[in-house]
Amino acid sequence: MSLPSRANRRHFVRHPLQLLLAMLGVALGVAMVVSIDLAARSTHRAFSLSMETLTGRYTHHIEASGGVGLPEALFTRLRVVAGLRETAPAVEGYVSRDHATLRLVGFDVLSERNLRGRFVTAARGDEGLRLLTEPDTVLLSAITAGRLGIRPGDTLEVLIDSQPQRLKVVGYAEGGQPPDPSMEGMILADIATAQERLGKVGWLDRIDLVLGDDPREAMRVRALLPSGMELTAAAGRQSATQNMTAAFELNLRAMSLLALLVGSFLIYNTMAFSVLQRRELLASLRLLGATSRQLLIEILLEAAVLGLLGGLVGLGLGILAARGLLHMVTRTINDLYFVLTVSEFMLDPWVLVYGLVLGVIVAVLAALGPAIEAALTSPVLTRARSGAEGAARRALPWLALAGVLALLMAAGLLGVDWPGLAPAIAGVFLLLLGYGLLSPTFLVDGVAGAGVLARWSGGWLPRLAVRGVGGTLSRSGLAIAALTIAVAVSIGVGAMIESFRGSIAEWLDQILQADIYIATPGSTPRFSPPLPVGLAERLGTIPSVDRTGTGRRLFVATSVGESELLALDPPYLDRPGFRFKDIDGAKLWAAFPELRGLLVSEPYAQRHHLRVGDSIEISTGVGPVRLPVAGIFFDYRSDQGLIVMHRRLFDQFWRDPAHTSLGLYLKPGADLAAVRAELERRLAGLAQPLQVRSNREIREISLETFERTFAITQVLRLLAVGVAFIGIVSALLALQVERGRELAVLRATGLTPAQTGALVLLQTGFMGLMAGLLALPLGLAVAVALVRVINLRSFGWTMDLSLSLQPLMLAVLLSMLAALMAGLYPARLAMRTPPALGLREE
Amino acid sequence: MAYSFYPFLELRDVHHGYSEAGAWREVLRGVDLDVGEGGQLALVGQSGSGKSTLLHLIGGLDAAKSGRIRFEGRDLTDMGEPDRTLWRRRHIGFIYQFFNLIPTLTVLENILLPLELNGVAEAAGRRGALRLLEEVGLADRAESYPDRLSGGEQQRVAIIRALIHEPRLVLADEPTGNLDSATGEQVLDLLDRLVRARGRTLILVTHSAEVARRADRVVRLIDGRLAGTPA
Repeated sequence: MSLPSRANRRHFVRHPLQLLLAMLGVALGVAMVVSIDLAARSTHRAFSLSMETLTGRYTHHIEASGGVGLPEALFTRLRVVAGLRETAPAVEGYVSRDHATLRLVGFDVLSERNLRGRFVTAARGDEGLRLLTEPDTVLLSAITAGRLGIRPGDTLEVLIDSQPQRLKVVGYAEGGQPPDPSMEGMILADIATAQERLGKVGWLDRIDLVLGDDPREAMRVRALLPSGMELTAAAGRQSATQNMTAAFELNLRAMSLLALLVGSFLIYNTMAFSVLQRRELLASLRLLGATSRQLLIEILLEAAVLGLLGGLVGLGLGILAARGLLHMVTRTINDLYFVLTVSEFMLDPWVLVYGLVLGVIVAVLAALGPAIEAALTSPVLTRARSGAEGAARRALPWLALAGVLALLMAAGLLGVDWPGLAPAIAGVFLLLLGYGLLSPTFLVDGVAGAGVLARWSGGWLPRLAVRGVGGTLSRSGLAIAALTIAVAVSIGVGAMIESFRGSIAEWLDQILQADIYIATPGSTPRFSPPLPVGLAERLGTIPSVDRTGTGRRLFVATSVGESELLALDPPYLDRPGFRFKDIDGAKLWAAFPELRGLLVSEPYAQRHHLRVGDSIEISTGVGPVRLPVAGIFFDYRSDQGLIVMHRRLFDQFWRDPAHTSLGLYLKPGADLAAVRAELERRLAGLAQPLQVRSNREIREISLETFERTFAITQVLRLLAVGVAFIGIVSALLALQVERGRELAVLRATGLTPAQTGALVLLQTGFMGLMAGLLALPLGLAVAVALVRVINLRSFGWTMDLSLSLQPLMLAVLLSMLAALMAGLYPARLAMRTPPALGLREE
Repeated sequence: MAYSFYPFLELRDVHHGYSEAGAWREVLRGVDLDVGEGGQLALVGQSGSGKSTLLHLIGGLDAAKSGRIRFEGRDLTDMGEPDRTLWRRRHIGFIYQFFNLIPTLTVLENILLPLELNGVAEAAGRRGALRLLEEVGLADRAESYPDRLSGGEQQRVAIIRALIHEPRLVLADEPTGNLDSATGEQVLDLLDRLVRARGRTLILVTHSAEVARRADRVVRLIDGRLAGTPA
């Protein structure tokens, strides 16, 4: 190592805390990016593996677009009559145990034994035969068995459709093979057992087939299928399901990049201070003949090494954090998209390399400014502190101009409806950056104002404190900007969650008009078994029940892809069941029974670029039908969206009298408990278990799911603030080191240690207050961007922006508290350093 | 000693100043000076007379606003900053009032720094540096950091560092300004001895008449102009 490098390196050896904080800045930023990426990739990988295992060597699936499944007879017909030998039936459902969801997969042991399509080991082992011969026997994934503490021979108690059931575990799904992570969460049973347990006797969820590359083969099979049945390629099905989570994952990534952005402020801070502290050293090197270029490279190399070291620590932290996040990501995916069990997490080397490279790049970019400053160090140390301040103040108009330009670009990206989510996320980043660049200008005005107030207060300590912050704006300004951004993000994300919660509550009020809802337990959008025939009529005669409304949920093929269709028969036409967008909802709802058109949810319209007047072709029971979009309604149940038609219109196209949900509307003043008791009595005789939920219960469950979904966002929000907090600690520490002589002079002049400590805390508190106040307008702008642009483009949800004063005040207070806490150590240091040492050290 | 057709150091009508709070303050108002090789020149004057500024211009630390500064016929005023830096590290040795040793390098490393910047192999430099340290009685402090040394010791190290790469011109700015008189004397003796032994040229800025008397020639700066008198 060259002597100039050695001289610079040892600066950090002498200031290890500074080194530590800089590394921590990179480390936390990298850790967030890496952990989220690892968690997302692990879920992706788990999903792909489990799909591969479930699909085996089958190339195509046949599924019903009606959601009720396929009649078993179809399988026999395909196999025996049409001669499709390489076919296998599949029945699947979800069961739960101790809040974990497991997948019960029914497969035809005999077919798989011969075809070797999938579950080869399970089908060919002795345990496979036991599945056929003994009732309620299952094979359990070895990993899951280990997690649940279950061994072959034990009984597995699970809830199926909320009913407790006992399954006998006769072996592992892997047979004698080593535990297979792709089988995680799987319970294998013979198809008959699965049909029986899942309430699907006589029905299949899927028929899997092996077809050759010749497209005529697929055409031949399609020709054999009755209407409402679809043949899809296995690969297409997998990617379609996986695409659902793309927006969710992109949002997570944006959040982690934000932490890295805040982290980069931290690196900039550290590098800027370290250059400032080394002014004399750098000047001496210049004096002795080191060129500007040498010093520039020197500082950039230093930053790269810092980025690398911090990045390595970040990888470690990221891997640890990923395990925690994996659980949260999986839970959100389960709540919003599809059921997935992931416990093994995959250490993708590319993510690690990407995290490390990102850490180095961000560190080098953040250090570019300080490195240029170092390179421009004059060999004659003419640039005193006041000179640096003067230069910083002269740069203010340019910074402000750059800030305004960034804000204009942000407005362009957020204001115009660009395709894709990336421009909107870039817009939010530019918004933060632009405001960050403008904040020093605001700060100068704030400091001037506070100076006037401090003069009025008459106290010399506040005056000294404000002047101290004002005199070091070139450095303290940065720490304040970083904290401002973090607090603003916190305000913005908080307001988004609040707005979302408010909109969902309002939406639930609008759609949950019935007092009691009845459905089959465990209904999912994919599998909604029909209610018993005549149930509506039977329950409608309960004396307190005023009217009944029905719903029929199914999946249909349309010109824009497979879509969820809801056929409704609402009893009241004077209370719109939805809130409509840009249209007279009351009029539309009144005409709903006669409407020969569709109502589509906002996410659906957004996803498929549909407007009122556009039309969609739907494959119905009587063939393809083209229907116009008559209205778009606000809906938050899924980001995939759904289409709604009136039951009367549905009946014209499908010969399917079944309902999948029933709503009971009670007479005014009716006793809910009494009606429920009567309901229980009337339902007791039915063979099919039904789920009865009150309006309030559904509302509570929905809001609970909402809170769970946003848990991860809250964690990320806290982490971003945490990174900023470390940033401000680092900045304050460095400021105190820089101002050591000034404080020593004050101490020598007669300031007591307590007064010195108070001075430091007053300054840090003031910085926190300024950051908090500056964060308010930015926070509100971020909230608007998140609510009106990001969420709309990610998920297609329009939300009402709800803002209340309390969280805003709390954010300012939090900012002040964070800064005060960050000031504690520097204050203690300032109090304890003997003035003589401070004077000598300079 | 090298002989050349050109004067060793030649300053013609050198002007320089600074902008302060928007107003221009002229520090040097047309300095003319010729310095021959091998001698010792003392630059004296009151505080603020422009002594250090002139020294910085001669050392290529700053560029004159107008006028010419030629070193063996090579015009410094025509050089850009990077070229001046390369020229400086080869031909100039600096000694400062506040020593300007690098606090994060040891005494030996501080001395080796100019050699390294000039691309001299460390082993060769190390022998010379240790010999010089021996000569000034600091051989046992080679591995110490500067903050462990007294002011006099630090200045002795600074002198060795200024001479280690055999510069043609040594510039000293108040080298004893931060030392007591006895230590100052010792340091000046050392500087005198080492510079003369190597036949180097020394320009020394001081406001002490006593220090100036040691030089071969004294020039006085008054209000940015030279009122030179042969010593």
